[in-house]
Amino acid sequence: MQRLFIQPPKLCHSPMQYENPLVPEGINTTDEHPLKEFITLSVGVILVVVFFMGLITLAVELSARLVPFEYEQQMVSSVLQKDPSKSTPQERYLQVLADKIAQAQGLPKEMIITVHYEDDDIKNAFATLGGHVFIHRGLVEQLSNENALELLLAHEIAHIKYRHPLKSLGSGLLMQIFWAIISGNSDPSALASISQLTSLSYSRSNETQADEEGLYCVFQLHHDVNGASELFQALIDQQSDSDFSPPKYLSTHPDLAERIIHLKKLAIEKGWSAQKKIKPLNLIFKKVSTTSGSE
Amino acid sequence: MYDLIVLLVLLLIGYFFGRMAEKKHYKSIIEREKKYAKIILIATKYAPAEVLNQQSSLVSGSVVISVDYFKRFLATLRNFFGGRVTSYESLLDRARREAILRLKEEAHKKGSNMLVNLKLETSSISKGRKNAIGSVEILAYATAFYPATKALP
Repeated sequence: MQRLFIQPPKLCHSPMQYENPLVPEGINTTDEHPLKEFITLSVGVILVVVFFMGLITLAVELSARLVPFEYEQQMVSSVLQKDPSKSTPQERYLQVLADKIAQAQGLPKEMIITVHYEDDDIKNAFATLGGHVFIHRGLVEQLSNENALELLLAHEIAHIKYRHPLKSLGSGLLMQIFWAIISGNSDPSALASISQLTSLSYSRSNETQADEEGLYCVFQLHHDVNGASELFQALIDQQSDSDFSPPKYLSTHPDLAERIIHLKKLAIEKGWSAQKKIKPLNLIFKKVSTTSGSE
Repeated sequence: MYDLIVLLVLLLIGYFFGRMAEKKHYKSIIEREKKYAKIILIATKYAPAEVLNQQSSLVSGSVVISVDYFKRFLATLRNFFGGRVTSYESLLDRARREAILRLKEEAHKKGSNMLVNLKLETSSISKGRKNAIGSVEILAYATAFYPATKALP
Protein backbone atom coordinates (compact mmCIF):
# COMPACT_ATOMS: atom_id res chain seq x y z
CA MET A 1 0.00 0.00 0.00
CA GLN A 2 2.81 2.38 0.84
CA ARG A 3 4.23 2.17 -2.67
CA LEU A 4 1.10 3.76 -4.06
CA PHE A 5 1.95 7.05 -2.45
CA ILE A 6 5.51 7.08 -3.72
CA GLN A 7 4.70 6.15 -7.26
CA PRO A 8 2.65 8.46 -9.48
CA PRO A 9 -1.02 7.48 -9.59
CA LYS A 10 -1.66 4.45 -11.69
CA LEU A 11 -3.22 5.50 -14.95
CA CYS A 12 -6.36 3.84 -16.12
CA HIS A 13 -7.41 2.92 -19.62
CA SER A 14 -8.40 5.53 -22.11
CA PRO A 15 -11.85 7.06 -21.58
CA MET A 16 -13.04 5.71 -24.89
CA GLN A 17 -13.35 2.32 -23.26
CA TYR A 18 -15.73 3.60 -20.66
CA GLU A 19 -19.39 3.62 -21.17
CA ASN A 20 -22.43 3.73 -18.89
CA PRO A 21 -24.99 1.60 -20.64
CA LEU A 22 -28.59 2.09 -19.52
CA VAL A 23 -29.27 -0.58 -16.96
CA PRO A 24 -32.41 -2.57 -17.65
CA GLU A 25 -35.28 -2.09 -15.22
CA GLY A 26 -36.35 -4.71 -12.73
CA ILE A 27 -32.98 -5.75 -11.35
CA ASN A 28 -33.26 -4.02 -8.01
CA THR A 29 -37.02 -3.94 -7.95
CA THR A 30 -39.81 -6.33 -8.72
CA ASP A 31 -42.59 -6.09 -11.25
CA GLU A 32 -45.00 -7.86 -8.93
CA HIS A 33 -47.99 -5.73 -8.08
CA PRO A 34 -47.76 -4.49 -4.48
CA LEU A 35 -51.42 -5.29 -3.87
CA LYS A 36 -50.74 -8.94 -4.63
CA GLU A 37 -48.06 -9.01 -1.96
CA PHE A 38 -50.31 -7.08 0.39
CA ILE A 39 -53.16 -9.56 0.02
CA THR A 40 -50.94 -12.63 0.34
CA LEU A 41 -49.24 -11.32 3.47
CA SER A 42 -52.45 -10.02 5.04
CA VAL A 43 -54.23 -13.32 4.56
CA GLY A 44 -51.24 -15.11 6.04
CA VAL A 45 -51.09 -12.87 9.08
CA ILE A 46 -54.85 -13.01 9.60
CA LEU A 47 -54.81 -16.82 9.46
CA VAL A 48 -51.98 -17.00 11.98
CA VAL A 49 -53.64 -14.51 14.32
CA VAL A 50 -57.08 -16.10 14.07
CA PHE A 51 -55.53 -19.49 14.75
CA PHE A 52 -53.86 -18.26 17.92
CA MET A 53 -56.95 -16.34 19.03
CA GLY A 54 -58.91 -19.56 18.57
CA LEU A 55 -56.37 -21.42 20.68
CA ILE A 56 -56.59 -18.78 23.41
CA THR A 57 -60.39 -18.85 23.40
CA LEU A 58 -60.39 -22.62 23.56
CA ALA A 59 -57.86 -22.64 26.39
CA VAL A 60 -59.94 -20.13 28.33
CA GLU A 61 -63.16 -22.05 27.70
CA LEU A 62 -61.61 -25.26 28.95
CA SER A 63 -59.75 -23.84 31.93
CA ALA A 64 -62.39 -21.45 33.31
CA ARG A 65 -64.30 -24.26 34.97
CA LEU A 66 -61.14 -25.26 36.84
CA VAL A 67 -61.01 -21.89 38.61
CA PRO A 68 -63.11 -22.04 41.78
CA PHE A 69 -65.77 -19.35 42.00
CA GLU A 70 -64.33 -18.47 45.39
CA TYR A 71 -61.20 -17.09 43.68
CA GLU A 72 -63.36 -14.75 41.66
CA GLN A 73 -65.06 -13.53 44.81
CA GLN A 74 -61.74 -12.95 46.53
CA MET A 75 -60.42 -11.07 43.51
CA VAL A 76 -63.07 -8.39 43.81
CA SER A 77 -63.89 -8.56 47.52
CA SER A 78 -61.86 -5.46 48.34
CA VAL A 79 -63.56 -3.26 45.73
CA LEU A 80 -67.09 -4.65 45.63
CA GLN A 81 -67.99 -4.98 49.28
CA LYS A 82 -71.62 -4.47 50.07
CA ASP A 83 -73.36 -3.77 53.32
CA PRO A 84 -76.80 -5.47 53.20
CA SER A 85 -78.25 -3.14 55.84
CA LYS A 86 -77.77 -0.16 53.54
CA SER A 87 -79.61 -1.64 50.60
CA THR A 88 -82.56 0.25 49.15
CA PRO A 89 -86.03 -1.30 48.65
CA GLN A 90 -85.34 -1.60 44.93
CA GLU A 91 -82.12 -3.44 45.61
CA ARG A 92 -83.84 -5.82 48.03
CA TYR A 93 -86.58 -6.44 45.47
CA LEU A 94 -84.05 -7.17 42.73
CA GLN A 95 -82.03 -9.37 45.09
CA VAL A 96 -85.07 -11.55 45.85
CA LEU A 97 -85.81 -11.80 42.14
CA ALA A 98 -82.17 -12.60 41.38
CA ASP A 99 -82.09 -15.39 43.97
CA LYS A 100 -85.23 -16.87 42.43
CA ILE A 101 -83.69 -16.70 38.97
CA ALA A 102 -80.39 -18.14 40.19
CA GLN A 103 -82.27 -21.09 41.60
CA ALA A 104 -84.22 -21.54 38.38
CA GLN A 105 -81.01 -21.52 36.37
CA GLY A 106 -79.54 -24.15 38.65
CA LEU A 107 -76.55 -22.12 39.78
CA PRO A 108 -74.21 -24.06 42.08
CA LYS A 109 -74.51 -23.19 45.75
CA GLU A 110 -71.22 -21.32 45.96
CA MET A 111 -72.22 -18.96 43.13
CA ILE A 112 -73.81 -16.18 45.11
CA ILE A 113 -75.41 -13.35 43.17
CA THR A 114 -75.13 -9.86 44.63
CA VAL A 115 -77.31 -7.21 43.01
CA HIS A 116 -76.19 -3.58 43.05
CA TYR A 117 -78.85 -1.06 42.12
CA GLU A 118 -77.35 2.20 40.91
CA ASP A 119 -79.66 5.17 41.16
CA ASP A 120 -78.51 7.03 38.07
CA ASP A 121 -79.58 7.70 34.48
CA ILE A 122 -77.15 5.32 32.79
CA LYS A 123 -79.12 2.95 30.59
CA ASN A 124 -77.09 -0.14 31.28
CA ALA A 125 -76.70 -3.29 33.33
CA PHE A 126 -73.74 -5.61 33.60
CA ALA A 127 -72.36 -8.62 35.42
CA THR A 128 -68.83 -8.78 36.67
CA LEU A 129 -66.44 -11.04 38.56
CA GLY A 130 -67.56 -12.68 41.79
CA GLY A 131 -71.27 -12.76 40.95
CA HIS A 132 -71.83 -9.03 41.20
CA VAL A 133 -74.63 -7.71 38.98
CA PHE A 134 -75.06 -3.97 38.45
CA ILE A 135 -78.44 -2.64 37.39
CA HIS A 136 -78.85 1.05 36.63
CA ARG A 137 -82.13 2.85 37.20
CA GLY A 138 -81.86 4.39 33.72
CA LEU A 139 -82.41 1.02 32.13
CA VAL A 140 -85.03 -0.38 34.53
CA GLU A 141 -87.32 2.61 34.19
CA GLN A 142 -87.45 2.04 30.43
CA LEU A 143 -89.09 -1.33 31.01
CA SER A 144 -92.82 -1.71 31.42
CA ASN A 145 -93.21 -5.29 32.60
CA GLU A 146 -91.73 -7.78 35.01
CA ASN A 147 -90.84 -10.32 32.32
CA ALA A 148 -88.46 -7.87 30.69
CA LEU A 149 -86.86 -7.14 34.06
CA GLU A 150 -86.56 -10.86 34.70
CA LEU A 151 -84.97 -11.39 31.30
CA LEU A 152 -82.51 -8.62 32.13
CA LEU A 153 -81.55 -10.21 35.43
CA ALA A 154 -81.56 -13.71 33.97
CA HIS A 155 -79.30 -12.54 31.15
CA GLU A 156 -76.77 -11.09 33.59
CA ILE A 157 -76.97 -14.11 35.87
CA ALA A 158 -76.42 -16.38 32.86
CA HIS A 159 -73.17 -14.48 32.22
CA ILE A 160 -72.11 -15.43 35.72
CA LYS A 161 -73.32 -19.00 35.35
CA TYR A 162 -71.16 -19.47 32.27
CA ARG A 163 -68.24 -17.59 33.89
CA HIS A 164 -68.17 -14.98 31.11
CA PRO A 165 -66.53 -12.22 33.21
CA LEU A 166 -63.71 -14.59 34.16
CA LYS A 167 -63.36 -15.85 30.58
CA SER A 168 -63.15 -12.39 29.10
CA LEU A 169 -60.61 -11.37 31.73
CA GLY A 170 -58.55 -14.47 31.01
CA SER A 171 -58.68 -14.17 27.24
CA GLY A 172 -57.95 -10.45 27.46
CA LEU A 173 -54.81 -11.09 29.48
CA LEU A 174 -53.66 -13.93 27.24
CA MET A 175 -54.20 -11.83 24.13
CA GLN A 176 -52.14 -9.01 25.58
CA ILE A 177 -49.33 -11.42 26.33
CA PHE A 178 -49.66 -12.86 22.82
CA TRP A 179 -49.30 -9.40 21.29
CA ALA A 180 -46.41 -8.46 23.50
CA ILE A 181 -44.60 -11.61 22.40
CA ILE A 182 -45.14 -11.49 18.67
CA SER A 183 -44.95 -7.77 18.10
CA GLY A 184 -42.21 -7.01 20.62
CA ASN A 185 -44.48 -4.06 21.42
CA SER A 186 -43.19 -2.34 18.31
CA ASP A 187 -46.21 -1.74 16.13
CA PRO A 188 -49.20 -3.57 17.51
CA SER A 189 -51.93 -1.14 16.52
CA ALA A 190 -52.55 -2.42 13.02
CA LEU A 191 -52.46 -6.11 13.76
CA ALA A 192 -54.09 -5.87 17.15
CA SER A 193 -57.23 -4.83 15.29
CA ILE A 194 -57.51 -8.32 13.87
CA SER A 195 -57.43 -9.86 17.33
CA GLN A 196 -59.92 -7.29 18.54
CA LEU A 197 -62.32 -8.40 15.84
CA THR A 198 -61.85 -11.99 16.94
CA SER A 199 -62.43 -11.19 20.60
CA LEU A 200 -65.48 -9.13 19.71
CA SER A 201 -67.02 -12.06 17.93
CA TYR A 202 -66.30 -14.13 21.05
CA SER A 203 -67.99 -11.45 23.14
CA ARG A 204 -71.06 -11.47 20.86
CA SER A 205 -71.35 -15.23 21.09
CA ASN A 206 -71.29 -14.91 24.90
CA GLU A 207 -74.13 -12.38 24.71
CA THR A 208 -76.21 -14.69 22.56
CA GLN A 209 -75.62 -17.54 24.99
CA ALA A 210 -76.74 -15.34 27.88
CA ASP A 211 -79.82 -14.20 25.92
CA GLU A 212 -80.90 -17.77 25.26
CA GLU A 213 -80.33 -18.87 28.84
CA GLY A 214 -82.14 -15.76 30.08
CA LEU A 215 -85.21 -16.39 27.98
CA TYR A 216 -85.26 -20.03 28.96
CA CYS A 217 -85.20 -18.94 32.58
CA VAL A 218 -88.16 -16.57 32.09
CA PHE A 219 -90.05 -19.47 30.56
CA GLN A 220 -89.21 -21.69 33.50
CA LEU A 221 -90.52 -19.11 35.95
CA HIS A 222 -93.84 -18.37 34.20
CA HIS A 223 -94.22 -20.99 31.46
CA ASP A 224 -94.61 -17.99 29.21
CA VAL A 225 -92.20 -15.44 27.70
CA ASN A 226 -94.61 -12.68 26.70
CA GLY A 227 -93.10 -9.19 26.88
CA ALA A 228 -89.60 -10.35 27.72
CA SER A 229 -87.98 -9.10 24.52
CA GLU A 230 -89.30 -5.66 25.33
CA LEU A 231 -85.97 -5.34 27.11
CA PHE A 232 -84.22 -5.03 23.77
CA GLN A 233 -86.93 -2.79 22.39
CA ALA A 234 -86.18 -0.39 25.24
CA LEU A 235 -82.53 -0.53 24.30
CA ILE A 236 -83.34 0.12 20.63
CA ASP A 237 -85.41 3.18 21.59
CA GLN A 238 -82.51 4.47 23.59
CA GLN A 239 -80.04 3.68 20.82
CA SER A 240 -81.90 5.76 18.24
CA ASP A 241 -81.41 8.79 20.48
CA SER A 242 -77.71 8.66 19.87
CA ASP A 243 -77.11 9.34 16.21
CA PHE A 244 -74.37 6.82 15.46
CA SER A 245 -74.04 3.12 16.17
CA PRO A 246 -71.08 1.02 15.07
CA PRO A 247 -71.49 -1.77 12.52
CA LYS A 248 -72.23 -5.23 13.85
CA TYR A 249 -68.75 -6.70 13.51
CA LEU A 250 -67.26 -3.80 15.47
CA SER A 251 -69.58 -4.23 18.41
CA THR A 252 -69.31 -6.16 21.67
CA HIS A 253 -73.03 -7.00 21.56
CA PRO A 254 -75.13 -8.42 18.73
CA ASP A 255 -77.48 -6.10 16.90
CA LEU A 256 -80.54 -5.46 19.08
CA ALA A 257 -83.12 -6.06 16.37
CA GLU A 258 -81.39 -9.34 15.58
CA ARG A 259 -81.46 -10.30 19.24
CA ILE A 260 -85.24 -9.81 19.33
CA ILE A 261 -85.69 -11.87 16.17
CA HIS A 262 -83.36 -14.56 17.49
CA LEU A 263 -85.28 -14.84 20.78
CA LYS A 264 -88.63 -14.93 18.99
CA LYS A 265 -87.36 -17.72 16.75
CA LEU A 266 -86.01 -19.56 19.76
CA ALA A 267 -89.37 -19.30 21.56
CA ILE A 268 -91.22 -20.67 18.52
CA GLU A 269 -88.66 -23.44 18.06
CA LYS A 270 -88.91 -24.54 21.68
CA GLY A 271 -92.65 -24.04 21.80
CA TRP A 272 -92.52 -21.42 24.55
CA SER A 273 -95.83 -19.59 24.56
CA ALA A 274 -96.06 -15.80 24.66
CA GLN A 275 -99.73 -15.13 25.38
CA LYS A 276 -100.19 -14.75 29.10
CA LYS A 277 -101.06 -11.43 30.53
CA ILE A 278 -97.97 -9.44 31.44
CA LYS A 279 -97.40 -8.24 34.95
CA PRO A 280 -96.53 -4.54 34.91
CA LEU A 281 -93.22 -3.40 36.36
CA ASN A 282 -93.20 -3.07 40.12
CA LEU A 283 -94.13 0.45 41.14
CA ILE A 284 -91.06 0.98 43.30
CA PHE A 285 -88.98 1.57 40.20
CA LYS A 286 -91.47 4.02 38.76
CA LYS A 287 -91.68 5.88 42.02
CA VAL A 288 -87.95 6.43 42.23
CA SER A 289 -87.85 7.66 38.70
CA THR A 290 -90.50 10.33 39.33
CA THR A 291 -89.02 11.56 42.61
CA SER A 292 -85.53 11.66 41.24
CA GLY A 293 -86.86 13.39 38.15
CA SER A 294 -88.28 16.22 40.26
CA GLU A 295 -85.15 16.59 42.33
CA MET B 1 -62.33 -0.28 16.92
CA TYR B 2 -62.27 2.84 14.79
CA ASP B 3 -58.55 2.07 14.54
CA LEU B 4 -59.40 -0.29 11.75
CA ILE B 5 -61.28 2.29 9.71
CA VAL B 6 -58.50 4.82 10.24
CA LEU B 7 -55.99 2.17 9.22
CA LEU B 8 -57.85 1.38 6.00
CA VAL B 9 -58.11 5.06 5.10
CA LEU B 10 -54.39 5.55 5.75
CA LEU B 11 -53.59 2.50 3.67
CA LEU B 12 -55.72 3.73 0.78
CA ILE B 13 -54.15 7.18 0.89
CA GLY B 14 -50.68 5.66 1.12
CA TYR B 15 -51.37 3.26 -1.71
CA PHE B 16 -52.85 5.69 -4.21
CA PHE B 17 -50.59 8.65 -3.58
CA GLY B 18 -47.50 6.52 -3.09
CA ARG B 19 -48.10 4.61 -6.29
CA MET B 20 -48.85 7.73 -8.24
CA ALA B 21 -45.66 9.38 -6.98
CA GLU B 22 -43.61 6.29 -7.73
CA LYS B 23 -44.86 5.96 -11.30
CA LYS B 24 -44.24 9.61 -11.99
CA HIS B 25 -40.80 9.46 -10.43
CA TYR B 26 -39.72 6.41 -12.41
CA LYS B 27 -40.87 8.03 -15.62
CA SER B 28 -38.78 11.09 -14.89
CA ILE B 29 -35.78 9.02 -13.78
CA ILE B 30 -35.74 6.94 -16.98
CA GLU B 31 -36.08 10.07 -19.09
CA ARG B 32 -33.23 11.91 -17.39
CA GLU B 33 -30.97 8.87 -17.32
CA LYS B 34 -31.14 8.83 -21.12
CA LYS B 35 -30.46 12.55 -21.22
CA TYR B 36 -27.32 12.31 -19.11
CA ALA B 37 -26.13 8.97 -20.47
CA LYS B 38 -23.18 10.64 -22.18
CA ILE B 39 -21.69 11.71 -18.84
CA ILE B 40 -19.38 8.88 -17.86
CA LEU B 41 -19.61 7.97 -14.19
CA ILE B 42 -17.18 5.45 -12.79
CA ALA B 43 -16.35 4.22 -9.33
CA THR B 44 -12.61 3.74 -9.73
CA LYS B 45 -10.33 5.60 -7.40
CA TYR B 46 -7.93 6.78 -10.11
CA ALA B 47 -8.69 9.11 -12.96
CA PRO B 48 -8.04 8.14 -16.60
CA ALA B 49 -4.91 9.68 -18.14
CA GLU B 50 -6.85 11.88 -20.56
CA VAL B 51 -8.46 13.96 -17.85
CA LEU B 52 -5.47 14.37 -15.57
CA ASN B 53 -4.60 17.80 -16.95
CA GLN B 54 -8.17 19.00 -16.56
CA GLN B 55 -9.70 20.87 -13.67
CA SER B 56 -11.49 18.81 -11.06
CA SER B 57 -13.91 19.42 -8.23
CA LEU B 58 -16.20 17.61 -5.88
CA VAL B 59 -19.79 17.28 -7.01
CA SER B 60 -22.63 15.85 -5.00
CA GLY B 61 -26.32 15.10 -5.24
CA SER B 62 -28.61 14.11 -2.43
CA VAL B 63 -32.25 13.19 -2.13
CA VAL B 64 -34.64 12.46 0.69
CA ILE B 65 -37.63 10.25 -0.02
CA SER B 66 -40.35 9.39 2.47
CA VAL B 67 -41.90 5.98 2.75
CA ASP B 68 -45.68 6.02 2.53
CA TYR B 69 -48.03 4.31 4.97
CA PHE B 70 -48.82 1.48 2.60
CA LYS B 71 -45.17 0.62 2.02
CA ARG B 72 -44.46 0.71 5.72
CA PHE B 73 -47.44 -1.53 6.47
CA LEU B 74 -46.32 -3.98 3.80
CA ALA B 75 -42.84 -4.04 5.33
CA THR B 76 -44.35 -4.70 8.78
CA LEU B 77 -46.29 -7.64 7.40
CA ARG B 78 -43.13 -8.86 5.68
CA ASN B 79 -41.38 -8.82 9.05
CA PHE B 80 -43.49 -11.77 10.16
CA PHE B 81 -42.55 -14.14 7.38
CA GLY B 82 -39.22 -12.80 6.12
CA GLY B 83 -38.13 -12.41 2.52
CA ARG B 84 -37.53 -9.55 0.13
CA VAL B 85 -38.96 -6.28 1.38
CA THR B 86 -39.99 -5.31 -2.13
CA SER B 87 -41.88 -2.23 -1.01
CA TYR B 88 -38.66 -0.68 0.26
CA GLU B 89 -36.56 -1.96 -2.63
CA SER B 90 -38.24 0.29 -5.15
CA LEU B 91 -38.03 3.20 -2.73
CA LEU B 92 -34.27 2.84 -2.35
CA ASP B 93 -33.80 2.18 -6.05
CA ARG B 94 -35.54 5.45 -6.83
CA ALA B 95 -33.54 7.34 -4.22
CA ARG B 96 -30.21 6.00 -5.46
CA ARG B 97 -30.91 6.78 -9.07
CA GLU B 98 -32.29 10.22 -8.25
CA ALA B 99 -29.20 11.08 -6.20
CA ILE B 100 -26.92 10.01 -9.06
CA LEU B 101 -29.00 12.05 -11.50
CA ARG B 102 -28.69 15.13 -9.34
CA LEU B 103 -24.97 14.51 -9.17
CA LYS B 104 -24.83 14.31 -12.96
CA GLU B 105 -26.92 17.47 -13.27
CA GLU B 106 -24.41 19.34 -11.17
CA ALA B 107 -21.57 17.93 -13.22
CA HIS B 108 -23.36 18.89 -16.42
CA LYS B 109 -23.57 22.49 -15.21
CA LYS B 110 -19.80 22.48 -14.73
CA GLY B 111 -19.37 21.18 -18.26
CA SER B 112 -18.04 17.84 -17.10
CA ASN B 113 -18.35 14.60 -19.00
CA MET B 114 -16.29 12.50 -16.66
CA LEU B 115 -17.05 11.64 -13.05
CA VAL B 116 -14.66 9.48 -11.07
CA ASN B 117 -14.68 7.83 -7.68
CA LEU B 118 -18.43 7.68 -7.11
CA LYS B 119 -19.50 7.13 -3.54
CA LEU B 120 -22.99 6.58 -2.22
CA GLU B 121 -24.16 7.00 1.33
CA THR B 122 -27.50 6.00 2.73
CA SER B 123 -29.00 7.12 5.97
CA SER B 124 -32.45 6.79 7.40
CA ILE B 125 -34.09 9.79 8.92
CA SER B 126 -36.27 9.18 12.01
CA LYS B 127 -34.01 6.39 13.14
CA GLY B 128 -34.94 5.17 16.59
CA ARG B 129 -38.25 6.95 16.65
CA LYS B 130 -41.11 4.56 17.11
CA ASN B 131 -44.09 4.68 14.78
CA ALA B 132 -42.69 7.57 12.79
CA ILE B 133 -42.97 7.24 9.07
CA GLY B 134 -39.37 6.94 8.00
CA SER B 135 -37.54 8.76 5.26
CA VAL B 136 -34.36 7.77 3.53
CA GLU B 137 -31.57 10.05 2.44
CA ILE B 138 -29.12 9.06 -0.25
CA LEU B 139 -26.04 11.15 -0.91
CA ALA B 140 -23.97 10.57 -4.03
CA TYR B 141 -20.64 12.31 -4.48
CA ALA B 142 -17.79 12.05 -6.95
CA THR B 143 -14.94 13.97 -8.52
CA ALA B 144 -15.87 15.76 -11.72
CA PHE B 145 -13.26 16.53 -14.38
CA TYR B 146 -13.86 19.32 -16.84
CA PRO B 147 -11.72 21.34 -19.26
CA ALA B 148 -10.24 24.43 -17.63
CA THR B 149 -11.60 26.72 -20.32
CA LYS B 150 -15.15 25.54 -19.83
CA ALA B 151 -15.07 25.99 -16.09
CA LEU B 152 -17.77 28.19 -14.64
CA PRO B 153 -16.84 30.73 -11.98
